[in-house]
Amino acid sequence: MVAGVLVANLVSSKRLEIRNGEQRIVVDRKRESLFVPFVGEMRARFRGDRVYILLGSKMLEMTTPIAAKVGFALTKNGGACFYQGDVVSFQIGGEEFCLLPETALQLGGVMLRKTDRADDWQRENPRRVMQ
Amino acid sequence: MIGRMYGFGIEAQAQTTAKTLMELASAADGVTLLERANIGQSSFDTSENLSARIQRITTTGTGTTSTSGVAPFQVGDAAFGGVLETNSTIEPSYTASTVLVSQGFNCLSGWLWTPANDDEVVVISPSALVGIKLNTTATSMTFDYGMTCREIGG
Repeated sequence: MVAGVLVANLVSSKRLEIRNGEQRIVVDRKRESLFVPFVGEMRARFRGDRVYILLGSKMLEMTTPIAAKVGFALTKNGGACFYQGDVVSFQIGGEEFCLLPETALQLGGVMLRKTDRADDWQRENPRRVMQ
Repeated sequence: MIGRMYGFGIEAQAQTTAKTLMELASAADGVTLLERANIGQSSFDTSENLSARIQRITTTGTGTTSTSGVAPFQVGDAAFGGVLETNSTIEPSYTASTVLVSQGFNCLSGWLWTPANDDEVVVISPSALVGIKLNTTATSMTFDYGMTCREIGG
């Protein structure tokens, strides 16, 4: 899935929702009595001016402003899970990934760091930034 | 660069016991990334074993509030939004099973930690706490220590 130009976003105290037509990225926090945390490979990377999240076999490509928002929301929600059963809900295009708080915290932080690197790349290559 | 970079350092502070040297609290509306931490000493010229640790904190301790000494790298940036306490007199309560870094070192060479890659960076969520502790002191020494962090939001 590729999140291209994201035209609207809504940031509230805990929920982040970014929409692009039919596509949505949502970061939220909720309490579950029974949940299955996502246990596949989960990585944040950057290439050129873009930031990527790899969730198992799925890949989400983001521009730096979106990656910064998503990374911040993951970190914020991960750190705000105080009670047993609190998880971070990460929805990409309707598919939900339940992340353990520590996982969301670290993934968000790594995304912010990758965003910083992609941002540096953009400044070094002002004519090569993808449209 | 995203966020704002801040540096902090303490010079020539005598320590005789193991204690938390720096307790870093993130701002309530910001995320802090710990980018560097260092501990060294300037009074001993023979080898001694020391150790340092970075760990998450549940309940804050008591120390000297040194937030105003956390200087932005870029002149004109806003002041650091979090809280930094140093030289704890009452130790914080560390969160079990959250030791992020633990390393012994020779007092002559000192200790410097930086993340080996982006995935290893220490992330401090809003209002959360991380402590940098001198785990052992063999005898009284005069320490220099500090850290560099990046604040996003706040």
